[in-house]
Amino acid sequence: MPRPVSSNAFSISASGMSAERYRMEIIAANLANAHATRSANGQPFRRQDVILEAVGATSSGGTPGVMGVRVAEVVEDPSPFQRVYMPSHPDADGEGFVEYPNVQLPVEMVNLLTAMRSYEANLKAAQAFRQISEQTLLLLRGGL
Amino acid sequence: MIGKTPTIELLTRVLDAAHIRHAVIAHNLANVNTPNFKRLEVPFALESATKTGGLATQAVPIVQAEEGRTRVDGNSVDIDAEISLLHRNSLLAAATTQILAQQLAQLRSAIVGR
Repeated sequence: MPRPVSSNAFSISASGMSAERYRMEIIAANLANAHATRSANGQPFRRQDVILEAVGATSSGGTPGVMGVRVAEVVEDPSPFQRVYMPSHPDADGEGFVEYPNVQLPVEMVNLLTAMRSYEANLKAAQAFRQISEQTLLLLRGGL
Repeated sequence: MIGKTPTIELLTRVLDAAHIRHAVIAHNLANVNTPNFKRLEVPFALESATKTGGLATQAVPIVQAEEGRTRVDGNSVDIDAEISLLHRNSLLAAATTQILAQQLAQLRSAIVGR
């Protein structure tokens, strides 16, 4: 029987967990820099987003491969910075406005929660796989 | 091979399908945040088709699920639906393993003669 392209169920779940963990790291970096008015390029910090992509999504008309997920790239959010009126701030412009990062706390918190939920779902899948594998292994011992 | 009854053959296939289905569900869950990802599935209807010898002869198909509810980012994975499928599949695997164990025990008692 020809087997469809698929890797170990554990490694699929692991790829999902590491992708979600990476998302959480980026969200943590966004939150940590929520008030950083200076970054390497002299501008305020720009919030970052993780783009994920499916591995082996479609193998040209054949059976779609199932090999988990990977981080495709990390992109910067091009949305405008927040302008806050703070004339005494050292980074204030001529009119007294300071540009703060385009990080919004509620957005980051919601993203963090979805990342956590997705992480848990992947963990659940790994646990279920362990469970059915153990049951199958019991056959070797001669009964359930 | 002695002892390879049609029932055991069939149960093996069902267990095989359950394992592949598990990998597919894990794949869907791993891609729950991938933009434009469309969920894949191994239909459960497969097992009921085994009577006609469908599963025994052909490979387990992985198909793209027909368009269901799609999110704003073009992703069609529903995390709760996948978890419930995961449980259903685990139950199927457990039941199949039980029956398989019973079949093998029967075979063993025939050999031992008790």
